[in-house]
Amino acid sequence: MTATGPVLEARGLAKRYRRGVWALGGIDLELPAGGITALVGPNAAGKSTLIKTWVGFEKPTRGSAAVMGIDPWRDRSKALANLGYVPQSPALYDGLSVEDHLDLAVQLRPGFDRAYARDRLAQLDIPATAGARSLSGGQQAQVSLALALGTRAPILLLDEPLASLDPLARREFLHVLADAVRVDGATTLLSSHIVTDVEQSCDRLIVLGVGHVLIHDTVANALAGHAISTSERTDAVAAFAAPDSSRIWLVRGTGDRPATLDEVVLGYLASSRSKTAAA
Amino acid sequence: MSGALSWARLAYRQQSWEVFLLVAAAAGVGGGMLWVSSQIESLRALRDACLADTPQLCDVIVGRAYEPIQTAQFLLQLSELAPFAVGIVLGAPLVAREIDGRTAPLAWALSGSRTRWLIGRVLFVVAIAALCLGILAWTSEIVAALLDPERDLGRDFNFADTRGPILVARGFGALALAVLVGAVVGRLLPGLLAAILVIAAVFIGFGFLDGAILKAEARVVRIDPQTGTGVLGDHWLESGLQLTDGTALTWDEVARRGIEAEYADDGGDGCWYESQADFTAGRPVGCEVAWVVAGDRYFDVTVRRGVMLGGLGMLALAGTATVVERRRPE
Repeated sequence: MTATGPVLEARGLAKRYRRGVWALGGIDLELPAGGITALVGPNAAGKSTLIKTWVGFEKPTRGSAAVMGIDPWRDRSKALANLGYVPQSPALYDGLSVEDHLDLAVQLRPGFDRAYARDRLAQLDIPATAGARSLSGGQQAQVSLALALGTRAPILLLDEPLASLDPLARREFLHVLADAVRVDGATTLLSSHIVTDVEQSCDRLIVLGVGHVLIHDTVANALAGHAISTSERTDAVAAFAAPDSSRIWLVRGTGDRPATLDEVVLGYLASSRSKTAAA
Repeated sequence: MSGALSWARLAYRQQSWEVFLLVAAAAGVGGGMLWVSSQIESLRALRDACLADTPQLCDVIVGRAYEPIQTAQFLLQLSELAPFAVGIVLGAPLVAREIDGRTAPLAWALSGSRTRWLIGRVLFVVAIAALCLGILAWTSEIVAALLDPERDLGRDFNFADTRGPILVARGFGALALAVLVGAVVGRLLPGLLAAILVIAAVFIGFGFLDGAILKAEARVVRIDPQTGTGVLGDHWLESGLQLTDGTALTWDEVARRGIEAEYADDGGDGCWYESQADFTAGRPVGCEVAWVVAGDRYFDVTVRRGVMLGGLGMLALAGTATVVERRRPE
């Protein structure tokens, strides 16, 4: 891998669980260094599975995954040395304080930057002596993020960290994340099923639908390359319902008005759903 | 805070109730053994003084000794079960709770080596188990020695399964197995139940293996026809009949060969005769014998059992490391 090469890769990556369900259906993906990428998709689209494959938690059924060119399943420790990870639901040790978590991270991760993580938490007024059990959901997510940031890893993988947070906590979390990424320059992949949450913070967008990549581009390109038509178009990506229940069409190129990021995502998800139904 | 303290704190906070319960139970049973030992000692001193002075009036004192002796035997039985309880209660939740409680993804993503994480998690728990069982190992030796003061328990299989360092070794084996089962199952309560079943099965198997090894090195001795026993302190494995050509048969083998009891006449000397004439002529079919391991081999046998249990524990921990390296964290 060169300095400008992808930091995260998937080549024909497919994952089937024991019960026979395909979570990923052969994904090809390259994520360049830098910025925040939103990994968006509905529930069961395979977002968590994709992230867990890069963390080395899931073994690919077919294809391969790589972190900085390293196969995370075969050489997990080397791959993890490049990763900071925030799990889906922030699960901290109930009986431990925030400071205990930082101590533990120092034991587990050589080079863990305790002072940096502690500073991040202090800025949010999360006391180091507080027990994990006494923290709000938002604070627990912030501690999880601080633990990931403290690794000073060049890549951060965040698996739906916003899912259980209230709107204010979500905004605060994203603010801290964006600030940290701006300072550290870490490549960040943030999965979410709520587009509006990530719209302001992310530079790139990956839309995943039922195990396949539907769109992968910069947010600017995705917005510039699509528009909304209020009348039916044969070249439309897909049709879907607008908030006022009228029918609108997501089209490539120009239309009646610019598309929002939410509409781009909805259009591709609707397209994916209709293709799946037709199949 | 040093690294060891970090792990100790995590282990204690994760299993504080179990640790508290087991340390309290070990202290209670151990303390009970010391107390009952002092009771037996003082009653024995009283009895000796009484017997020397007014032997006809000592029945009450002798009678009073039964209760602490029975208590001591009960406590020794508890100490025999303690390694399994300690192993299951401390071992099964160790990894299972991390997976069940979803803390494993956090820890495993932070740690490059899950094996190193496992070692950190296991060490404190092993230390607590060793402390609890060490207390029982020490106090059980004291109380067992007082129950039969005339015997040298260093060369005697009396109470062999209920006393001494073998309790610690057995606890380590049980704990390591429970950690392995908990890691495989990945759920707290099912992990506990599965650990009970697996440990029961493995230790029954271990008993068969140990018995087979002992049988292979046992010697055949005549059973004393008056007492029906062998030499005190020997480990009695099983009994049978030794034929006049020297062949020793277990009772099952005796039955298979058709040497049935109703045709045999025990002449009162521990031998079987087919008829009165054979008895009178001193022509037995065979004499009752036992397979025993001599009491002076107690130390060797205990060390061997300890090594086997330690090996079993290390094997189980190696298995746990393999499971933890390969399994999903949730």
